[in-house]
Amino acid sequence: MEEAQPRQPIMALSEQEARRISAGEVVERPVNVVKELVENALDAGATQVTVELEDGGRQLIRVTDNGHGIPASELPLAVLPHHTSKIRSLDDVFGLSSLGFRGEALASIAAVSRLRIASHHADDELGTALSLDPAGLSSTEPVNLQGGTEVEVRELFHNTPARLKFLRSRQSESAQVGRMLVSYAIAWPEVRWELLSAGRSLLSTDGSGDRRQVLSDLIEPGFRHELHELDYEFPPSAVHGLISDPTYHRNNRSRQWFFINRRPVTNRLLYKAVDDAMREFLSSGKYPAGAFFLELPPEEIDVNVHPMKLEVSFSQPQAVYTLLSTAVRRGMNRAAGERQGSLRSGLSSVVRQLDAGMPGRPVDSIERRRPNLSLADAARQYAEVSVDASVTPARLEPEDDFAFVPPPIDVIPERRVQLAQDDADAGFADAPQLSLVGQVGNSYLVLNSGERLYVVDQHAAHERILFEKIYEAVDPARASAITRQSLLFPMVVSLDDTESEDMQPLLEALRRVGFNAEAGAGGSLVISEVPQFLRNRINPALMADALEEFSSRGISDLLEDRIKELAASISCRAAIKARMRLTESEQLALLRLLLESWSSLSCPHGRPTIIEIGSSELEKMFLR
Amino acid sequence: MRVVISQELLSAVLSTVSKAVTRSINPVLNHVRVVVSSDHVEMTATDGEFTIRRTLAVSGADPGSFLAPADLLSKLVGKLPKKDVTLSTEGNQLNVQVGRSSYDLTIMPDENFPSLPEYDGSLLTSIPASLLKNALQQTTFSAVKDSSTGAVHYTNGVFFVFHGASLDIVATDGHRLALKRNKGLAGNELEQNLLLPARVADELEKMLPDDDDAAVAIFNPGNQVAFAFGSQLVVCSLLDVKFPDYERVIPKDIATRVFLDKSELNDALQRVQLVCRTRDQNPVAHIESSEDKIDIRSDAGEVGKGVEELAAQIEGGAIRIALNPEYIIQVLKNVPGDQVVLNWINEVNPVLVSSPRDPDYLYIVMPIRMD
Ligand SMILES: Nc1ncnc2c1ncn2[C@@H]1O[C@H](COP(=O)(O)OP(=O)(O)O)[C@@H](O)[C@H]1O
Ligand SMILES: [Mg+2]
Repeated sequence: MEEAQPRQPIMALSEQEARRISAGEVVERPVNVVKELVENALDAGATQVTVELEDGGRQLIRVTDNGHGIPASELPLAVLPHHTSKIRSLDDVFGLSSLGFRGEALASIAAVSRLRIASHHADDELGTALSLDPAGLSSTEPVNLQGGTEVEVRELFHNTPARLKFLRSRQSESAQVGRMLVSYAIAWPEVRWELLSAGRSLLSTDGSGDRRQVLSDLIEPGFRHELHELDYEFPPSAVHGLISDPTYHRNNRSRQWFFINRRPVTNRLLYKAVDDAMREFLSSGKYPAGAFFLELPPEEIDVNVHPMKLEVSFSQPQAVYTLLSTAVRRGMNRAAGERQGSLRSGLSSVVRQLDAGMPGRPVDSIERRRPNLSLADAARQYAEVSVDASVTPARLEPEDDFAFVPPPIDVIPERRVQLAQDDADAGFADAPQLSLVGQVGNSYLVLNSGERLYVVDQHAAHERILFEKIYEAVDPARASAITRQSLLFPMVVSLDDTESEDMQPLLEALRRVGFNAEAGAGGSLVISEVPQFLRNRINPALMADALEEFSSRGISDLLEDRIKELAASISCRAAIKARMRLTESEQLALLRLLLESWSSLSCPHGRPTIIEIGSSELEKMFLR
Repeated sequence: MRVVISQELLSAVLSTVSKAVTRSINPVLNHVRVVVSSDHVEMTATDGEFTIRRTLAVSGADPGSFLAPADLLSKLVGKLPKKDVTLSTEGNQLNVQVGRSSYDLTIMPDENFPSLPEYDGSLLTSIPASLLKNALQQTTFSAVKDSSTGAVHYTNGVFFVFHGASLDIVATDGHRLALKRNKGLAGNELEQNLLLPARVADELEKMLPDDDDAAVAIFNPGNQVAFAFGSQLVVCSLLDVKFPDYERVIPKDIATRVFLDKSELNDALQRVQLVCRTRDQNPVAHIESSEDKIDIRSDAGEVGKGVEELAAQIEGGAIRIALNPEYIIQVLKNVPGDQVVLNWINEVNPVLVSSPRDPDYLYIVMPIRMD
């Protein structure tokens, strides 16, 4: 949609149209001027745009482009109010297919500065320069220009001292221009951008069209983290873009850029959509880097709220919020899935091999018996193994010191596993050959692929798995499939006074995630049924902890959000703890679960579950 | 120190006591304590909470005591030829010698090994070993052996309730409960409860002789319990958590009794179990009766479904309930005789599984609920 339209002649809007459109555009600072000039350059199909500032734009703003130029005969029209080559009627205004559309930018700029436009259109032999001053005096002269346009704005606000007074320092004004041009550089990677301030280059891109590259460079020099593709279509709307892997984050939104129909915008709703979607992947207060391009039907957007600012508003804010947060969530889940994919096939081979080698364990592994093993089944398998584990070690060592207890070599032997050629779920030619090294510090499982080490956080991984399973219940279509184990001895959970105040929403949230509970005496909670797959992982102390944490969270009043928080609290408590020695069969069971859990990259509180240590990182540690 | 013991006996003793050994950061606990007197040898291993000791008679030994590496010694002895083994110590070396095989293992002095409590004065009772073995077999499987949720819970124990001349042994994981009542124990006038860790109960059950004449003496020194039988001694710390009032959950007002052939039911459930994962893959079997039969249905959604029809003798109205079939399969292994009874109240109350042959064995299963 962003292809420049074939050029139309510059004409006056009808008076009636002009009156309807006019939004009382005001030029307040250099950045506003630059924006208008840059948009004109892009509208002219430029592939190279250079912005030069002197004294932060106070002395000079010069924008040079290699676009189609303006014919000499039309040059005087360009600076007249309501003269444009871009729209013919109001309907076109909302089409927004070109960036500038009011036909009055040049006129407003001319009113507060000394403006000179030099341009050369292919139909003319020579280029022409038009100079004018605020008094309306103009002069033209032929210039030697080979295509394109050069607009010079000198002495901005020299005739409006009030506005001049409000300008900030040179650095501050040029920094604003720089920030804005960064957005344009990300939106238009095929354009070579250059910003010079007092002769110093503040920004320059190569115009290769590689948005990923441009974005990486702009996030920070030497940025090495992955950028995941966002690609979500919901006709007539869509979201595209790139977002950084959760391994990268910042403490503010300074590396997030939002665009609607390729115009840079700022909008709190859009921030919130990204923040909320990332809550599963990053802890709060941490922000990913990313470029978010929304395509929305023009009638959904009101850009006239603040014509010179980037603010927009929406006629259906909720829909826009859902669109963006869904796009981000999907993108992150897919990325997590892809990342898991290669690891997953490696893991499945470990599990199979371990199954085969486990004494007293049928070679007929669960994968073979039930190809579509679900999370819950895996969870059940976990329960089985943990109950029936034949080797149950006594836990004697103090739980809090001795970070590294070497695994006994004859209990957890290293097993190298060659990925079978016909491995149905491999799907990745370069899947790592993984060997289970053992448990470190009673908290982490270590896997070796030859090339890299994978360290699985047993608590975070299990928590993530349980969370997904519990949270499934939020989907009403699935909730009915949750089977509940009734308890012989109902669990009585005593709650603080604060928690017992309004028990109803809590009871409802519990019901939705597969518990049956009612209010008991003295503000207590009596649980009589628990989700069947959690039956061996729940006890009253644990529920009390989970509910206390849940009530202290209270981020949102929405039931659906509360359910999610409840799921997070319960899964955190019910998960295998850190500093808990796992027998080989328990390690195996956890790996099996991990394997089945598609997006187990980060736990609900936003910590990662698996980290990779490549040989290059090891080399670094050994100072090689 | 010098002693001669047959390889078979030594190997058996070492492998028994090694069950109490865990890999520990405390080196003493990786060792078996060997105390040799002129006419007997005592071998003890412990993980600090759970201790096994075995005593064996010898003759003409030179006394002495030391700590030997449990794992290594047990494996080495296990691989020696079935002949007399001579153990002797010199300095920090234990020499193990049979025929032309001779090994010197580094040992530790007999220091810092956790001492056993004085239990002699704390005898609770003495009961037939086979009775205890059988009762543990019938109950321990219902407890939760691991405690990977962190905290210790009553589900991690096997509960002993001495009450007059009877001993109830109970275990539950919160969803089903197994109870064996042992009545008419001679000479008992005890009121005492003990909560034994499930994994100790499991080991104890394996160690107890199946011999009708053997007795096991039960001691209760402080917060510990000791079981002495034959030449063996098992000592462990008790769990310090409250066991719930199990009498309260035993179903009373039974509406319907369904008499079934045990092996038919077992076979049917084994098959149903293969195809009974619901969409979220939890095992559920739906049981319904009509006239003189019951249907056991499983529905695993896209995986498939199945139905089994079993002849039944029914006293009372029709029944209908959903259960985790694994809980039933597990109890059937421990129900004596050919027949088993499902005692039903209604869909929400527990089902009581009982045995006409062993009325003192009760098993209670809570139903599965769904909307
Ligand atoms: N850099 C440029 N290259 C080509 N044509 C331009 C350029 N800048 C301005 N123009 C012409 O001048 C007209 C008026 O520009 P402007 O006042 O910004 O109004 P608008 O962009 O809304 O049409 C534009 O419609 C376009 O035809
Ligand atoms: Mg314009």
